[in-house]
Amino acid sequence: MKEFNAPKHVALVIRLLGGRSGGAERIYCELANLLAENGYNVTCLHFDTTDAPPFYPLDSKVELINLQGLQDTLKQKLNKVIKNIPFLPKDISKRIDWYNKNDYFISQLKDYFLFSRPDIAISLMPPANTPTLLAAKGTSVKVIATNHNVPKEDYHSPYRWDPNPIDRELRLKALDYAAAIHVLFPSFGEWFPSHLHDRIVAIPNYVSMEFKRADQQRDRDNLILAVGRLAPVKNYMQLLNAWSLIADEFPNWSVLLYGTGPQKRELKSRISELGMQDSFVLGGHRKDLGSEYSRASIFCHPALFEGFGLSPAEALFLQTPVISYADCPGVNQFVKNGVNGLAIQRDSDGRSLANALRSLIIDSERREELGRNGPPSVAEFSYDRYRSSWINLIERLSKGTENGHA
Amino acid sequence: MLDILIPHYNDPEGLALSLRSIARQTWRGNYRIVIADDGSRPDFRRSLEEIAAASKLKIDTVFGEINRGRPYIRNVLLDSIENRYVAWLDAGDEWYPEKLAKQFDKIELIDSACLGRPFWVTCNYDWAWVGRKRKKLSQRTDNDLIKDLLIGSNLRAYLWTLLGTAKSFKDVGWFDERLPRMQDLDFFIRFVLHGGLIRNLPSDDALCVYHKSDIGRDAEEIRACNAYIFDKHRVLYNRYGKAFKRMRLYQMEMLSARFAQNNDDRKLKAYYMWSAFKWRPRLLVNHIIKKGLRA
Repeated sequence: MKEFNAPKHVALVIRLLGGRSGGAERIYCELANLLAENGYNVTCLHFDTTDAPPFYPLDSKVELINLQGLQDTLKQKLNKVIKNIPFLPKDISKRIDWYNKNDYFISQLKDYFLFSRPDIAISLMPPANTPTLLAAKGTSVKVIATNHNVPKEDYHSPYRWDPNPIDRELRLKALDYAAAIHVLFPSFGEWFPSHLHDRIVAIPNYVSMEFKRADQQRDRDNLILAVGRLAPVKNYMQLLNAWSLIADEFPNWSVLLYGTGPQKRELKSRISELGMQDSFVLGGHRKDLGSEYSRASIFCHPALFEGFGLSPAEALFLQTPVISYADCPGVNQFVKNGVNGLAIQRDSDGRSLANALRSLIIDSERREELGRNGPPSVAEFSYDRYRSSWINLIERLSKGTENGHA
Repeated sequence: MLDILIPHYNDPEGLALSLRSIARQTWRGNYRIVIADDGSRPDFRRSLEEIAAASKLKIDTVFGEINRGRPYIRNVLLDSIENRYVAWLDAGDEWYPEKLAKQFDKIELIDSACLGRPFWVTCNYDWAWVGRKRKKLSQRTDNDLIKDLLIGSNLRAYLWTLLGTAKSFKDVGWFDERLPRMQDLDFFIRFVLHGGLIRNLPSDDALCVYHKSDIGRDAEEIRACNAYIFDKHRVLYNRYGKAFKRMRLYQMEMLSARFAQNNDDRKLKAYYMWSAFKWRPRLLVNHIIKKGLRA
């Protein structure tokens, strides 16, 4: 008689998911769907105060559980009372804050690991990594802690994630309990303390298959394209300043910037101030970017740092040369100066960016030559490679583990 | 168009009753009945073969050589699905003639609303205890589905009330073979966790009948399955708070006490009632004041 064995069980942990449309949530949902498609029993665990569904679709084979309690526990109520005690020492107050934020999340994860016994847990980024690793301590569950940005920023910057110093301290310490530590590029792994190096696994993101279908335009428009979140880290203000230095030289060229974000208003008012509404256009949010990459002559990405510069990788895939800064991690791994674009030295006033733009605008042959080198330079960021890397890692770590439930 | 899935074990009379209720359906679409026998005694197996051969209905049979238990045989049925829609019926239970017709009307409505989520259509049903009057029970599907399933009074996890697409059942995965009892409840909970919706019909009528009996059902096994479900879905119970958990554990002990009582095991019943007392002492005292020592 046929046997109906439950497949390997993978729990994916993220802190916030409901209704959120960021890149991390997209990666999370896509990884869940990918693993479900490949026969794994996938449970997505999140910790949201809202029960809003995920913004990105989840396959109906994927189980979704919100671990957040619907009422405060006694411990949480007690912490709130203690927190209101006047003249409470700062370090105690910070500790209480951290426990209020994480204690229930950790206890729910621990219960899940103890009773549902997934073969592997994959946690997404430090806000989920720390609670997941602390919860898995003392259970048989192996955790892959994933990192989707430059480690130095994720682990040391007081501006990223929870600014509570207790959290920053635990972020790195908790990695001791990880079975594997995922990073986007091998060079990112070198940042971690040496005793963790043998657990580092580099799996970069991938360029979506949808771009394979985009039509390649033979004669490209006089267009400089930029795509990303309108936030200071993307440095679009400098692109605007650089363009203002050379716009008059190239009246039939324009810059088109797709994306939304907190810096939108500031950018808009600066564009008005410079009187450049016609040649520097904010295109807002756009889903089908394939045709835009294909019609642009230059892709400009002046970011300060990236985890994985997906938009420049997509541009290269569609033969658009990229201009970026040579010191931008997450982009300098694949944008090579003079090969598939220009990786330039950063300055404070945007002059080097203006010069780089000028040099490509006036040289269409060079643009074509650099564009041709784009696809092979990002060939390694394929969906197939991404899928096999994840499956190999899960299989390697879960060898010999006993599955929990159907 | 429709697969009707029936598990069977040593109950050819009950099976004949269920098949008659299928034959009386007013819905006139195409359907195939799959009966999976879970290693019945040879004489019962022969009876099943005779019933299937004599029936005018389109019946496929699958025979297991040994008794592997209800969740395993449900997995055999799940694996046998060929059509777009699926309904379940347990040998010994009955559908009223309008059941499929009304549920297909509702399915069309939900399909046209394009919810983009898997869904099941349930229905109200009569609960017919052996030797007692029938009692109609309603399925409430407009509240928190998980909470109602965990409580088990507003929404009960009975597969034979359902009609749904094959995909909506298959995507949940296999029935948990560690649950000889109550595997339906686990399956329902997992369906909702997979984004599934459960909808009832607008009509108040009961559309099927459950011939219920506690006789011969092992209280210890029921208790063990309940405890297993509590552990497996512990994080869901936790979400509703400590009082909710204690109440569910109290109900778990009282349910086991009822099975022990109906199978004349007084010692076991007393043990479970004592366990219930430990979770909610005042509630048990009130229960005894109102209903005596009857679980």
